[in-house]
Amino acid sequence: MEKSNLKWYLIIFALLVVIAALSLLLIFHRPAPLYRPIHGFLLHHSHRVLTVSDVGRIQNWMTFDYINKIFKLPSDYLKNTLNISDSRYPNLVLYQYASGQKIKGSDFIVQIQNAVRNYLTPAK
Amino acid sequence: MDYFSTFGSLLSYLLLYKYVALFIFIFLSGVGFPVPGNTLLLAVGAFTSQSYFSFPLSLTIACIANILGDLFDYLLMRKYGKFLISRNFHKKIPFASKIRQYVKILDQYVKEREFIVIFITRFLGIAGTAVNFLSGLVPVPFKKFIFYDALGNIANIFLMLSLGFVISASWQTIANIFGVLWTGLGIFILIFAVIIIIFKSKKRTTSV
Repeated sequence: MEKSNLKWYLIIFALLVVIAALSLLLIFHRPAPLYRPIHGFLLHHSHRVLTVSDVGRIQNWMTFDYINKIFKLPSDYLKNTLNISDSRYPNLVLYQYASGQKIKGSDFIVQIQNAVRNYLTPAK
Repeated sequence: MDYFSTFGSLLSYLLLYKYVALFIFIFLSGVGFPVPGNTLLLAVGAFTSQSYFSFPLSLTIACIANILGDLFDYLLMRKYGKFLISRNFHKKIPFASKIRQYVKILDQYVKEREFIVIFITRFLGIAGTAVNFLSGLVPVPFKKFIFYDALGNIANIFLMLSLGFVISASWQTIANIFGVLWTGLGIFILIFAVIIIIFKSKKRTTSV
């Protein structure tokens, strides 16, 4: 390896480490004044709670964990409602689970949608 | 979306393994494997709007992965490109038999417009991979390549993640449209470049 190239490899590596360190600092540390407006914008936009009208967005490539998070469901709600005993829950893809249980994918999606709808619909 | 589609599986892996999967997919996309990098970035942008991914961390990981992927192509061609051409392996392929001639034309073209060529193609998927190989073959100076590549990648990835973040839940509809546009544009530019090169090489041979 040429000496001049090695110098550039080291500079780039150092730059990447600095970028990574700065990002980690922004994530885990209190936002710096410059970052605060951006952070505020991100928080404002990221807290749009999905409602009953969004249950149609559930698809079989999603995981239980993802559905729990985006619909703000209690972590064990789907597990208990659908009697899921798989130890990989909630890090389990819907399709994977449905095929393992020999359930038709589209039918299972409907079951999930109904369970989420029941949770999100306020009791009369 | 059908699970059996490759993209559906990629999304599942992305949700299961998060940043590790993001790094691997974007690296492979940078190297030139047929992974829909920009569409995945749109999806990750949407996931950040749902607080499922962190925006700055996704940006950092995707940038590092993409730069490393591009560097892989560049260094591979820089180290072995000239050797492969000198061995005349390409002469067995009809179109590539004139590759030495084409490289000379491209060499001049790329050297005159390094920034534009490298920066712009970071947004164009498959055309970006072709330029990585070409930059290694010419070769574009390493520090220039890495600088323009990093600039282009950061701009592209920031744009894609932000777009995904803003369109949020509708990202799949937009991704379908963009997917067709990106692929079409990338292929169009490649075909256009090939036509120009052939045209110029013919012109040069007739004028000699």
